[in-house]
Amino acid sequence: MRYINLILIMLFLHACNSEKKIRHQIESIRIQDVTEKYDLGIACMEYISQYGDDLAYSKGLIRKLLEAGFSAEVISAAEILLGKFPDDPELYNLRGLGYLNMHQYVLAIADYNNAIRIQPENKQFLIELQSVREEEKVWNEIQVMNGSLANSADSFDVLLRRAEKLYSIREYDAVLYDLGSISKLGSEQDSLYYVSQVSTLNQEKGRKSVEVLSELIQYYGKVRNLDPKARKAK
Amino acid sequence: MVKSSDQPVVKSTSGRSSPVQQLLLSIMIIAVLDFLAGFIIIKDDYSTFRTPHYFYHHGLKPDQDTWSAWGSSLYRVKTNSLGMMDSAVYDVKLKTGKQRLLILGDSHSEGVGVVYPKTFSGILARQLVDQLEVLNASCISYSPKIEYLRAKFLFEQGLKVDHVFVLIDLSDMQNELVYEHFEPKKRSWMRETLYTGRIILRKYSSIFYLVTSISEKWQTKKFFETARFFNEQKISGTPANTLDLYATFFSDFDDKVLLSNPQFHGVGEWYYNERFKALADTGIALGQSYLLKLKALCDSQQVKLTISVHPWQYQILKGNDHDYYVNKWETFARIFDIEFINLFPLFINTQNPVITTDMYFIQGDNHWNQFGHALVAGYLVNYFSKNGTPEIGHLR
Repeated sequence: MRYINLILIMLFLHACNSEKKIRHQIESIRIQDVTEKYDLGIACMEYISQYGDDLAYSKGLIRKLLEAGFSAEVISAAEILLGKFPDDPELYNLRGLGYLNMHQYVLAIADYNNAIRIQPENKQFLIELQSVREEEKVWNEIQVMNGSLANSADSFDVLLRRAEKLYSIREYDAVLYDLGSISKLGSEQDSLYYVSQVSTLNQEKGRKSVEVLSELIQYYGKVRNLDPKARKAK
Repeated sequence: MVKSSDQPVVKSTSGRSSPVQQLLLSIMIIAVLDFLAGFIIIKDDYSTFRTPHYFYHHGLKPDQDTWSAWGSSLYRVKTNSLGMMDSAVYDVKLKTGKQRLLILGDSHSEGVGVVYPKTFSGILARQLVDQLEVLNASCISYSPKIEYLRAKFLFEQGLKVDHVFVLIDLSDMQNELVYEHFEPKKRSWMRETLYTGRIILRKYSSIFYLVTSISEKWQTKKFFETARFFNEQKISGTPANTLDLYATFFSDFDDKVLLSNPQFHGVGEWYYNERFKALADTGIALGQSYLLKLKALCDSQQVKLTISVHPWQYQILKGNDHDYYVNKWETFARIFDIEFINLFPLFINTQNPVITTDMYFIQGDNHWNQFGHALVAGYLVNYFSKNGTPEIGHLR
């Protein structure tokens, strides 16, 4: 009987300490490699899904998830908390950011509107909503370009315009991909220029990718005005 | 207190329990302590709803309501009475008046990292609720051989369906090689009882939990010792929970040369590599031989069969929506008169491929996120509501 009592006490203490344990685990994770980033993601999600009653702390964890680039997790974490705190404007704002990162503009705008409905005096929300709307406009222009790519005789021009648009919404990996495609449509010299510029990205103390991409866009911008045949022969 | 001297001290033999009784009592005490200790020791490691299986290699435990982890995603998992991912824990009737679609596939169709109602099968079930009932028997690391065994097991259980939809995945090429020597054990009352007993003990008994955990850890360690090149190259970018799960499916495979080759673990790139193309072809051929068995099984039950293929991130970046792999399966489906769906164009189109992978895939992973599932569901809802299923009662 004594042993059973002891085990029951241990069970009780175990249950009491779980929340503290997860908090301690979250605070102790220092992101040094990708594995630790995933550990942090899981720990944050564990806290939010199992506890999450401390709203301020939980929102801090969602921000951590955002910083780590876990947008899908931000959306589900915010959803769990919205089930408990449906009138918290910041939760809508955070979920909206998650949607925005995944190019789900309609959902993002709906969340920003929800946040503003609850807290109309919050100027930050209004500024952010305006910025999302502008980004959505660029996104819609990109979708039109995608449509025209299928029928375009000069994909060089469409791809370059798309790269410019993607650059303006900070989609740098996508820009690099499009510039790679563009480099194959121009002359050998254009292709070599692309390779030489991109190689500087991989070097130690290499230049910032935004600078390289910007220069590449400018370079191909000059080539754009040439006739496709002349472009190839240049 | 003083004992009365009037009462003689009698050594009673009738109050003393027999050795058998003592043994039973000891077992009971140990069992109670074992189960109580289980409450403290047994931790939910987010894959406890998974289980090995004597007939179809592995699957999901029935009637589970728990949490699962994939990468950094933590999501709620519910399984029905047949051990299938579902929106609720409930008893599935073996026969129903409604048309029934049975989905088979691997982790993509199981929907790892995404809560069931947001997976394509959850969306299909919701949107086609008036037309058909959707059951999803998919499970991580399934391939045609296991899918065939799973379907056979369900049909022998008495499950009636009208349509089987198999989502062929690129990893099937590797899985078919890994499961080549797996032999399903005969079904029996005894085996089924042992299987159920194992599930219960794994959940509640601390002793059983410790023994099986140590054995699993040892197996995982052994796997990573052999697959060390893969470990060094890719481990830093892959979440630990995903890697551990990956390791558990190699229990019937001991080709150390292949295991230690990093390219063996990059199955998505096999058919672009001249050295691995032959291996890809072997994997595809093995898969197709089991697909034919599944087709025969479906025909015997008058059940329609549809298969589909879908790309990984690597295929999307390559940009060919009708590549070698698609052609292989399309040709196979045409020859054997199986309905075929190519989902490559859904992801490979004029959209920038980097944007496509960002939008529809879990970060750093080949599985769809909730928006990827929604995209696939959008296509399939249209497909199944237009031409997917036969008339109710027509085939029964």
